[in-house]
Amino acid sequence: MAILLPYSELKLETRCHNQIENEIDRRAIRAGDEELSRDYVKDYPGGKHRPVSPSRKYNCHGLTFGSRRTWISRASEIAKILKDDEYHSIEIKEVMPGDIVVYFQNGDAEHSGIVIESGFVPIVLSKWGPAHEVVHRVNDCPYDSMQIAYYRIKT
Amino acid sequence: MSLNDFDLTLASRVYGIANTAPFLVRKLQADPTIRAMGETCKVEDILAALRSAADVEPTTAVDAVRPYALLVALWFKPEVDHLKEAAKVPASAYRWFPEVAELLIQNFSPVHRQTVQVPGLLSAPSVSVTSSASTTTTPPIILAER
Repeated sequence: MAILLPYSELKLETRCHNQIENEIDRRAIRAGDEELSRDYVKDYPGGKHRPVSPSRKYNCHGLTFGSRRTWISRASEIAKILKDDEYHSIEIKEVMPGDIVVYFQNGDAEHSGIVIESGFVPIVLSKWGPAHEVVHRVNDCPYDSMQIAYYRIKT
Repeated sequence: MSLNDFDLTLASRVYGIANTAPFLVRKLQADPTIRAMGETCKVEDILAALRSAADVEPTTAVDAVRPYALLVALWFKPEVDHLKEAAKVPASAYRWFPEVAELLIQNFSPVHRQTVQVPGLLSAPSVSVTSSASTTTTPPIILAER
């Protein structure tokens, strides 16, 4: 059985074999983490808050681009994934379930999610930092939705 | 006011959903509590609290954000040197510490604060605004002196 360190990086590559910088933080959740998650459940009653505990093993980008396996935080890594994996930008009217959304702010990719329902205001599945996963309207979350972009991967 | 008197609950809530270090920095810079820390506490006290906080593994959500909050408090000081000194503090349990410090140093701009006494425009101790129930289309607003 493998010995797991508190922090480690997965060998996670883009389609072009470029390593994606990532880190799994396996430390236990802290006192107050569960309460914070519960506070967000109250603050965002319109979302469907999935019953998964807070975790630092993966974040929104880890969910969107890494199958919930790890935490990806740097905007440069998101840019690398979008380019190497051949995502292309699409208009909101083209959005379909399975596309992804990235929330940008001053060059930072501060959040991302997977579209699960299209429409005038798409519904996405995302993870809120170390807190839990939420199914929510694209603009009903604690992240700034003024500069969002939708992408579809080329196959 | 002591550093322990500042309530970091709001900061811990932000940290509790932060996916990236720049997001955390932006939100902490907008946190009035952290701004007040920076404006009212001495640099030496903030640095001492930072060294103490960064030296231990966080056990609570508030502990987890404290070193970042203290870094941002230093960002509100008029000199960048304190921030550069703080960036050298060992903080291995705080994974974003080097990145947060770097971001703050990068977007530091010297701020000079001066309190300006504006000549009193209203001599009354307080002013209340009331509207009249008259039949005119635009009810007049009356500034009344108590």
